[in-house]
Amino acid sequence: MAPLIEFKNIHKGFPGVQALTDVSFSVAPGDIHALVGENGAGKSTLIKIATGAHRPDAGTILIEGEELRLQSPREAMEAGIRVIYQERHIAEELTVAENIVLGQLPKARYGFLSGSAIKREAQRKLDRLGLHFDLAAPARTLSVADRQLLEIARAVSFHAKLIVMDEPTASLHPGEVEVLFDVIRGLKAEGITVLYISHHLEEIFEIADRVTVLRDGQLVDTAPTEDLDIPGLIRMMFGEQVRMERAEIHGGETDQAGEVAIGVHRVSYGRSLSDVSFDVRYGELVAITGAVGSGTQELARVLSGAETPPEGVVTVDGNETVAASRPRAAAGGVAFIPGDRKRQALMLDRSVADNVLLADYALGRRGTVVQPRRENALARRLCDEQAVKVTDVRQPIRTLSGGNQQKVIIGRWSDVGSQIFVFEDPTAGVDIPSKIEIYRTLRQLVAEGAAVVVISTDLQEIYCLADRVLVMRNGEIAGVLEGAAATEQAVFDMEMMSINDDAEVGA
Amino acid sequence: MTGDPTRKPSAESFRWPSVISPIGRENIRVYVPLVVAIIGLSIYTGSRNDLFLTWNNFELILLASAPLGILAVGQTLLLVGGHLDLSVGSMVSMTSVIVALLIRDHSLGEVPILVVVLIIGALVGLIYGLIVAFIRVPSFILTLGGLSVISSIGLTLSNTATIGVREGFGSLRSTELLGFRLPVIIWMAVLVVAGFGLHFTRFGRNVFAMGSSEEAAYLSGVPTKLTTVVLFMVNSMLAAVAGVLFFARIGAGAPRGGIGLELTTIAAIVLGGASLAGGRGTILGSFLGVLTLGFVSSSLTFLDVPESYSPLVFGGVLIGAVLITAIAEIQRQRASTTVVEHSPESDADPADDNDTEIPKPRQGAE
Repeated sequence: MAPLIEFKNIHKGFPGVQALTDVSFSVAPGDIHALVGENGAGKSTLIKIATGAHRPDAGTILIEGEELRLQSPREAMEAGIRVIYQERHIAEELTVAENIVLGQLPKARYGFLSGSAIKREAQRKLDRLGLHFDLAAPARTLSVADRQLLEIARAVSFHAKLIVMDEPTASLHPGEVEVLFDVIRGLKAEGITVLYISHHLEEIFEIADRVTVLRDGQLVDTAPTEDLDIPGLIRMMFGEQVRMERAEIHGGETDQAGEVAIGVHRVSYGRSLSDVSFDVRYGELVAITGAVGSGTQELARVLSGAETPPEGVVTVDGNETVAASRPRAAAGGVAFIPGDRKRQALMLDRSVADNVLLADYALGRRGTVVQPRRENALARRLCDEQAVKVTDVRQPIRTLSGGNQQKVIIGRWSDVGSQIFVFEDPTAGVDIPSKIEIYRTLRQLVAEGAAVVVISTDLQEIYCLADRVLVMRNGEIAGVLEGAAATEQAVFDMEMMSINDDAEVGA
Repeated sequence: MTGDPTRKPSAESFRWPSVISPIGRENIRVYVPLVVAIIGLSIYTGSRNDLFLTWNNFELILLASAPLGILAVGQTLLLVGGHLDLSVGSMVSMTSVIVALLIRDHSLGEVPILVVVLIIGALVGLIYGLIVAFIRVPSFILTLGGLSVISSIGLTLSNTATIGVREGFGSLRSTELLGFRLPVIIWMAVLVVAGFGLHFTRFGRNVFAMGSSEEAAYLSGVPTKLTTVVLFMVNSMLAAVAGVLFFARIGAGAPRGGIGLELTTIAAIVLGGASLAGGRGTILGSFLGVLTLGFVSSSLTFLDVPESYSPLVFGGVLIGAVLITAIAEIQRQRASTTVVEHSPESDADPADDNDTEIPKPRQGAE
């Protein structure tokens, strides 16, 4: 049988860089095929070529054995190739049913749409995938995960042969990932081919049949997943062994925790947090984890001063007034690095310099008058300190990779001398080498005496980093684990027990 | 607008003087067409009418533009911070009426009058600022309501009639300094102070941050609520100053005199390169925008163009300018998506950005 899609000797260059060099591989029909490689390896260029957004300089693409010259994304769609983006292309004000059939509305009598026909059609598509949605609900009420599933339902309705998923789990919780995987397996059962791109290698081993690895624009190999293991795959991606182990990152037990930096005392916040108390000391890294809705996100905002809880007290250095508003907390030395980097931390259209100096200006650490020359030199120094790869600090921050953007944000806070750091998902959308650099930076901050809070759902990350782990459940702290004891299994078990508190625990 | 990293070598070899760099380098492609338009228009009109290209006419254009110019400064500050005030035209009307009444009925001196109208301006701005900052009502809708309320106050106070007053603020008409009359000098002073404040102080940086991403700014410690209140207060106080200049120009309190000024202000600012989406704009650009409209308006008079055509010309200038910048922006984005993101220096993953195929629709000109 001919491969569903075959890339033959694809070359693609952009001024100044060769993005793809002689890449050839094929995807068998009905396979779940993973595409991996670090940022800049060329995966995305390849996807853009497959979806008609870019044209290759040389080489051909064959779909089911026929050569295809894609001139536009529209043509790719007509050829049966669909890309699922994250939470994009959803018409917020339309209902779920309308979104699913959007662009393919059922035929209507006299030009009037029939609401019931739309619902019938949408339900049929959801049934096919085994999904359940409230069809009449407006799409804006959907969670990020549900939006993604909705997009898949829509893609299926366009008779897609190949569905490309670019980092589909980037903002999903483990439970939601499982639902997504069930849907992907359902697609496979229907004979639809999936090209799956992810930084999460465990996911690839769970779901993919085959893996193609790209490095520096060249094909490393395509292999069946069962012939590989994670360390091997990492070696293929990076060419050298990159270690992500607790011993490497955490660097052994230390007992240097000092004064209390943040004190949380009997904090309650609506239904999100109830009677939460704990301390974070200088010189320790406390990780907080829990399922979506367990209160971790609200806790992040309370710790950073962005929200003031109606009940309970948050102290910073023993002072109750500091956490009363975000500007005051920032001035009091509390850095906040939120999880949704693009929306909550960055000014995407502005320069690296403006972004790295944001807290500096906000807090007025260097006087009232701004001197552009000095400003650039300072930004340059801060970027160098954090090893940000950037040629010109005046270039827009959106041209940087996720890892470099995150380093810029860390630089922003080290510049103003913050001693307390609240991180939310510190390595979301960051490739593995940058991840490890960020982990080392976090441990470095702790070693220098800072108090660091990491709120994360990445259990491997928590195990590698934490001195202490708090596991949240229904707005309460369900348990506390010492860092070395907080293996992925231990935290996961505690979370599962929490979720199924009253129910029978299957595992 | 961001510097084009593809031309980095030339940008590096040529260093802008430090005063120009923050306001100039990135916006030069906005300024140049406006200056060219002004010069071109002057040459054309001058060739048809000898009186156009005279110092006297130049001064008259500046004088006529001063109220609009001052409004544009306040509005630019607000727009850069991500807000908007649609009630500045009615503020001008109401202020002119209040000034006229204070002179006619209370024989108040100029300084007390100025104090009164500045306090009124500050109060209006304070109310707007507090509502926008704490109740989070969109400023567009709030100030649209404010427009009606304020114009109604002006109409009520004046019994809907224009109040002619002979005396009062004569100095604004007669006093000259460095060859310019006082309103022009005041306008220039406002420009310099606001330009410094917006482009060379940390307050200005906070305004840009707030307009670029309010949430990122707040979470980074920018006191966004305070900044919002200050911006609205400054804007309304400048509107009050513009109202006094307007009064001095026509020598009357005109309850309908400021109708439409808010939209002209926005037109001038958009010509000057500000974005209605916030986070982008310069004082110099807005000044050039106001000046362009002033020159167009004067040319129409000197060319004897019937009055009914002048809105058409204004509309044409605005739409034309917006189209040109929008097209330039699309081309720039096309160029930058294929070049910048793949340039070897930036290790960006080209795919990090899914926007590349679809240029984001933006409000206003860039």
